[in-house]
Amino acid sequence: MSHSLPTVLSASHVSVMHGQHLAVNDVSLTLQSGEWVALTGPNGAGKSSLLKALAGLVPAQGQVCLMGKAWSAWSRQARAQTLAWLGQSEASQDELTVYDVAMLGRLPHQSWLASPSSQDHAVVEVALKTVQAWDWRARSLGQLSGGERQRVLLARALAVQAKVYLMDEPLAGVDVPHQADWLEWVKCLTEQGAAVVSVLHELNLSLKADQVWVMSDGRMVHAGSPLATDTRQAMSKVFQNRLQWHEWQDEGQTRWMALPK
Amino acid sequence: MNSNAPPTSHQSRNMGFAGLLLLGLIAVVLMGVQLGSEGLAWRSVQADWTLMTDIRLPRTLGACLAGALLGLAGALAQGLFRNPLADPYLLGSASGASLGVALGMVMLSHMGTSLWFVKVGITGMAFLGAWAAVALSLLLSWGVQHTLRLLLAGVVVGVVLGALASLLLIMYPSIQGSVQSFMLGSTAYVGWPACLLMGLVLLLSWLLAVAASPMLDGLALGESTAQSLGLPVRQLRWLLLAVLSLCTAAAVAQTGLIAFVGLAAPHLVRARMKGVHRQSLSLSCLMGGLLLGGADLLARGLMAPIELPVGVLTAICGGGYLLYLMHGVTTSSRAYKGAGS
Repeated sequence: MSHSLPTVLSASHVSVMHGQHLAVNDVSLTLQSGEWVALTGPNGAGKSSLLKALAGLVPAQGQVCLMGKAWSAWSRQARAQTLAWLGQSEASQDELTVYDVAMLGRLPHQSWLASPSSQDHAVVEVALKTVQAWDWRARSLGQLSGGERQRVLLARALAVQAKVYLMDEPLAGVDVPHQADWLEWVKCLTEQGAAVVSVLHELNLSLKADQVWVMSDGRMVHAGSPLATDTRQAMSKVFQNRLQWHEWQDEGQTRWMALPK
Repeated sequence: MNSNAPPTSHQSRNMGFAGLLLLGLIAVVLMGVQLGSEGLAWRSVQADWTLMTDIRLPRTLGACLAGALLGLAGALAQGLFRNPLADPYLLGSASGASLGVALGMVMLSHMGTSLWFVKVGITGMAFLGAWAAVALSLLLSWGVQHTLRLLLAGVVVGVVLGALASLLLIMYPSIQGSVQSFMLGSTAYVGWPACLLMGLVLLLSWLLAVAASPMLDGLALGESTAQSLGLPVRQLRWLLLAVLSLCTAAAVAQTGLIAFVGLAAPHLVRARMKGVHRQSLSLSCLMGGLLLGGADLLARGLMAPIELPVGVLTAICGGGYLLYLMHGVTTSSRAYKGAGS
């Protein structure tokens, strides 16, 4: 990934406390336009806390800048138009329809109490068709399986049409064909100039990203290309050397696959 | 369906449902006006005109308005706390109102009536008691930020104020009858001023609740999602809690403790509709009004000329219907799991 692309999100010495526990410890990072970063690390490493701090959803020390502007300089609505969040295990009320949920992604673009515009409807349609949920748009969430729900929630995030997407476990419960589709959607988003940071427990999907950020004990211990040797070493180290690496070829390029050992 | 069109089928179903509820409400009001201590009296319209306009009509309308307030409060509570078991009384307002009434009765019967008390009255004491209980819950939970802390504070306030009200009943046995009648709920003394007051509160509360309803939709997907959508979650939560408390206090002050309407009305609505909170809040208002209006009719007509406490009827009917719904949910979820395996 070229480093001449503009920085869309940056964090400087960010720390997050959960009660007495330091969940994120002095993390600095930059995210560039058109980049997909996979954030990985063992359970309790502070990945979700860091992602929430980047999204301004938890109080944090240090500074986070979106499009070069500090959080405090953004209005609530403009920030919501620029940065989309897809959280882990988002609770959902069963009587909301699939269409209603996707339309919530358009809230940052609507005036208070205004009805959705024809553009809002068009964007929601595209988002639902992208995740192949358009056919069940009139169904309520209570009628969907966990993986189907996750796809609808992703459509909600896509409908924001943001420049930065922060996704915490977006593939939880999603089956393999739709995981492959998700990779395509992310590729599509980054090609359009959006930046994506995703927490993924599936290491082999993380290795498909442009960058891998590795966290352990609240610290960012490594940030680098998934093809680099030191990235694999950092991942092995944070997972207690319980990873087995296998080389494989993907369209003429050497790739690596991690299996537990 | 046009490929660009949003799904409108459930919206038109919701509109049809609202129309049915409205028709039901009109029928309840018409029957309430005709229903006297000797049953329905269609023929003596002229003779009983004053009775109907001064007593029966405000009473029936008042029951519907109080039910609508409780239905709205219940829908708000369930949306705000993201808990289908939440009801309007969960922040201690019922116990606060009971204590307020008990205190009022003690002052009335043992200390004579001072000028300020005459102005405030028993209804005012119930209203103040309900508000004070909610304020105390908010104080103990240090604000609205932590839902669980707020719920627990509500439970504590409810238990403690309820115990204080019981203590007053033991200390002053002469007030037992009046306080018990308040706790069982009654629409018998609702007049035009109470109807006007409840109508105004309902209108204001409904407008505010509908205006803030996108927050409840966002909150349905989790607090973080609601915040990320640019919604002022904290401010809207304060606003909706104030509306919830206002609705509950206004209803309780006029009709006493009516059980189950606030819990059952949103459930009954959700069993028949899907859609955003803007629609479910309005439908819960209508459903609450229909439930309490209907219960008031039954309370007056079932054993006429003896009148049953309306709160007892709402508890029995509401509880029974919720059990029926619960059975339906369990059966359908079993069927779903069976189909999925």
